[in-house]
Amino acid sequence: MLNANKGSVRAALGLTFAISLVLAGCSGNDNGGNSTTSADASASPTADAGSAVKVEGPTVYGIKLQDMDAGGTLKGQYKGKKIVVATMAGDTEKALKDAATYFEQASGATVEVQSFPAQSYMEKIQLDLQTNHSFDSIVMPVALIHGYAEGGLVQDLKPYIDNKELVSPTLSLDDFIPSLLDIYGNYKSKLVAFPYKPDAQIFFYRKDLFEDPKMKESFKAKTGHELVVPQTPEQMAEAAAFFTKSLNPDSPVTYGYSTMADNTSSRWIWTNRLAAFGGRDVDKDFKPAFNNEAGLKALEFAKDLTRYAPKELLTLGWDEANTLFANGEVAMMEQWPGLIQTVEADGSKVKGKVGYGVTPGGAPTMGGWSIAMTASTDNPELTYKFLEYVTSKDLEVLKIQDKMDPTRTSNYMRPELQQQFPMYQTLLDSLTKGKIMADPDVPFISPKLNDIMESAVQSVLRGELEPQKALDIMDKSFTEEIKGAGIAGE
Amino acid sequence: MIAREKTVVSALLGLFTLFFLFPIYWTLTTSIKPKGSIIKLPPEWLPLHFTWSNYVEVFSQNHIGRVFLNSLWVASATTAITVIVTALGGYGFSRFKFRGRNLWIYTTIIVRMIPGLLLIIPYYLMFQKAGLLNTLSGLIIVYVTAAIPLAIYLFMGFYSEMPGEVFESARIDGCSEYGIFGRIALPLVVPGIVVTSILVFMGAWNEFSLSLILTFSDDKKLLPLAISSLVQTQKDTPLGEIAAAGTVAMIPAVVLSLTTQKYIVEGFTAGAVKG
Repeated sequence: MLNANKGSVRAALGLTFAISLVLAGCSGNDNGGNSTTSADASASPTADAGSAVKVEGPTVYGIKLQDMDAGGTLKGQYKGKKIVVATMAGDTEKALKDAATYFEQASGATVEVQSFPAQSYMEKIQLDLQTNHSFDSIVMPVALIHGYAEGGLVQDLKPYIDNKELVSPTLSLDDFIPSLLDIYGNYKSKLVAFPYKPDAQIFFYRKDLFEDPKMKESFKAKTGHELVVPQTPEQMAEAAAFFTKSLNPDSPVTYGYSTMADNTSSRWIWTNRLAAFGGRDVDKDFKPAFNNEAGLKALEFAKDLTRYAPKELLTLGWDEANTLFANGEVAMMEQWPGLIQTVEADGSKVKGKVGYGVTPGGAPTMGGWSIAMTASTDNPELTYKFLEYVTSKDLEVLKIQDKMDPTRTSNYMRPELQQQFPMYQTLLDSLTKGKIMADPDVPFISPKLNDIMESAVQSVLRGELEPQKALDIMDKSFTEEIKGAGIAGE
Repeated sequence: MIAREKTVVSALLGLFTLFFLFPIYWTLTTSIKPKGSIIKLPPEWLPLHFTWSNYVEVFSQNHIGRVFLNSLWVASATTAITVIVTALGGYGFSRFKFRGRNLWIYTTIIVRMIPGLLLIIPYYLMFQKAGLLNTLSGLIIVYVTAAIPLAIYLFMGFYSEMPGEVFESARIDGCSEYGIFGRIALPLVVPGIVVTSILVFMGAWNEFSLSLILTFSDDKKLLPLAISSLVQTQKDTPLGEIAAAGTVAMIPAVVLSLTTQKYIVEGFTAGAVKG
């Protein structure tokens, strides 16, 4: 009996010890979302906090980065402070971490970049914004940032810009591409974010085919027109028909046109022409602005394009659509700028054969990400300085290494970058001309409106719905959703 | 006739083996192919070119080594705690009659039926108050809580398969209840412990949703989260890196199945099925 008691005590103690060992062992450095990170700085500051800090800038793409201390306003004065920046995992995360290394040296502060998977970062970040408040800054798609602005979760940057003691003399708001600063940054007369990653649909085409004298001759013979890189929807449709093998057996490629058009992206075939014909998705008062002649014409044109596209068009996602183009089966494609990496990669059959331009019609759909400061940050000045720093002219060059294109006009003008990124002029033109966002810029319900558009556009492209009927359905659903969300314009 | 049956059975088994092993083969070969060889038509069934660059990438850029250790720690701790608690709990439910026994058994099983997603927000808010957000110990607590009902249910099945005479004999010979548990029941239930451990371990190893919501920083990431983070929007899916990370993630499953095969067969043919 005594042995049994001893055994039971030993068993109980053993169990308790095992559990506490496990819990104690794994809780080291745990601090509820506020753990510190130390950046592995590639260059070290040459002075202590309080005095001037000299941070040696790297040379990137042949450009020696000079402004590494925000015009002399960062002097290590934020030593001991820390901010947390949240974004999607991947290139954005890497770009922020690269810039944070230099910011930490210049400011003395610690920056922790927290990243979450592409499929779920929105939910995660929104949950934290509303409950845990551990983020000081967020880098997200524009429509989401504007939704958070409407909800009071991110704050106006103007008071910080107006603070002469704080603002960098090199900020130069005018240097941001005006349409980007307006569309990405402004929301209801407040500057709620700085543009961070610009995006616009680009028109890619097979340069070798469009410049081939035989093709030009054949095109002229068939259509009576010169074969030119399409700038108008009409030119685009004519060229697409010419290069579609089922309509022209002499075509060297199978399809005249392609894009990604699965049920998350088919709406862009329509919106790429919507603004070109004078329409918009929603107006300033959040009322549908597409159920008109422009909307109808753009949707009919989108339907017409499917005649020249692969049969499986409505199932093509990013990888599938890009692979078709890189395999040399398509003459023209509308896609985000990242396609260029696929077509110029080793193994691509169209390497060196692809040209690019603004989408026909001249009003491409725009994507884009901005960087904003949360309303709950405990370190607003430090956070502002970080926003200003990572979007500054020189630091923008650093983030190009991580596939983040510049948002400032002056960077597109740098000869070094123009030489190494020949697509930049087209991107700048596209960003300047873009009017409609990839996700409707309506707070809170942008994803829902995307679904409505996708459903209607897919039905039209599949031939199940007449364009006008689809526009009526979209109009009604948009109106109901926007009314239901209780959103009003300025 | 028998020979023909054997041939058919062998062919079917071969087909099933191919069906189940091909994805593993494809993952392994994709992980060592250069980028240009991964998406190729027709596909390279046998890798013609060989590279470690995908592994170098995931270990140097994505810190998959640290993430692997995090996952290993969380899954091991979850398994250890769960097995210790439920080996005792299952034994109690199986061998002893006490007031409210059925109520507790059903309550435990009902907990298992609540979809995990429903618990995410309550966990988040509770952990926020308790300072357990972004901690591996917080994840272990959640995983143990989620695993206990199934593990208890399994152990009840394993123990109930044991003949009652064995316990009676031990009791007559003067063995205490803890002695019976430690010296008689535990050695007999080893296949059950192995099976339960594997199920609990793999459950914690593969869990995604809770770790996504309850952790924040890079140094607390687990494998499913880190692998998922490799995919980006508007960028080609990094199939080589994903395959390399997936191969690393397969290691425990392969090691466990190879080293505990004997127990798995015993365990699945014992209480696990009949419980």
